Amino acid sequence: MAINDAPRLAEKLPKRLDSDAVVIAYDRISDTLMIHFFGRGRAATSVPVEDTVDGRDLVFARLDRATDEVVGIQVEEFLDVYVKARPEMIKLLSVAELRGITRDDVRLLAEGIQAEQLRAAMTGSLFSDLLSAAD
Amino acid sequence: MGVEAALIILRCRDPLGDTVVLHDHQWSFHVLEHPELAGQLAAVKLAIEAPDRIVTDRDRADRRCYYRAEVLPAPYDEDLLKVVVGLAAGSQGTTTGEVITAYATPRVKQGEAQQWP
Repeated sequence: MAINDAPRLAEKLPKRLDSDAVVIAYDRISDTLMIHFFGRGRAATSVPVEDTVDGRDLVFARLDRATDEVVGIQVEEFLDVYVKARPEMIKLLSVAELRGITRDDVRLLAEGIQAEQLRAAMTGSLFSDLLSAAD
Repeated sequence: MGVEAALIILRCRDPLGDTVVLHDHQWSFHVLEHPELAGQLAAVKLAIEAPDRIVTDRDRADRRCYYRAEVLPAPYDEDLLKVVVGLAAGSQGTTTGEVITAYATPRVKQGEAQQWP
């Protein structure tokens, strides 16, 4: 199954999710975030999807080949690459089971990302103001 | 046998001559987040000892990935088994690897650089 098969994966998504059954787990050693739609225990193959960052395969749909159903999501290089491109996704760690990283570590990371976003926004705003004034 | 040795559940050598180990905590707490790997320790060993290809991670020079086809049972027998190994320099210029994750996947990841064969 190639990357252009991603649209077909959408057809294999579950029609509804039971939020109580969803398990989110993050492992710092492998830097992998796993989202299990139906809890742990569903075997699957990790199919790269088109939602990549700079040509990298970072997001995978977990496809149960026995039922031909997407049963979860796997995100690789979650903190090292993915969150830098999608900063809002750091919030997933606040509800994830964590291994190799603490809640305090996550809080500090989130604060750092927020500060960086604020700095970039404010710098951009001030620069725009300067450009407008120069006109 | 020391405490660390007791925690190693797999020790093997790859075609590049490097030793790769798997610790039970990484197997139990992360690799088995991929239930298709349950009971497939022998397949992981085969993928490391006799891979179809070894690649280097695009962003992490200290990570090596091993791909092997036709080692997982149906319905994953047409998928590749991918084993990701973190590398560390050992004594006397050797390299030691530690399995950090493994899973079934239909193809090689984009951007990985082939290292072997």
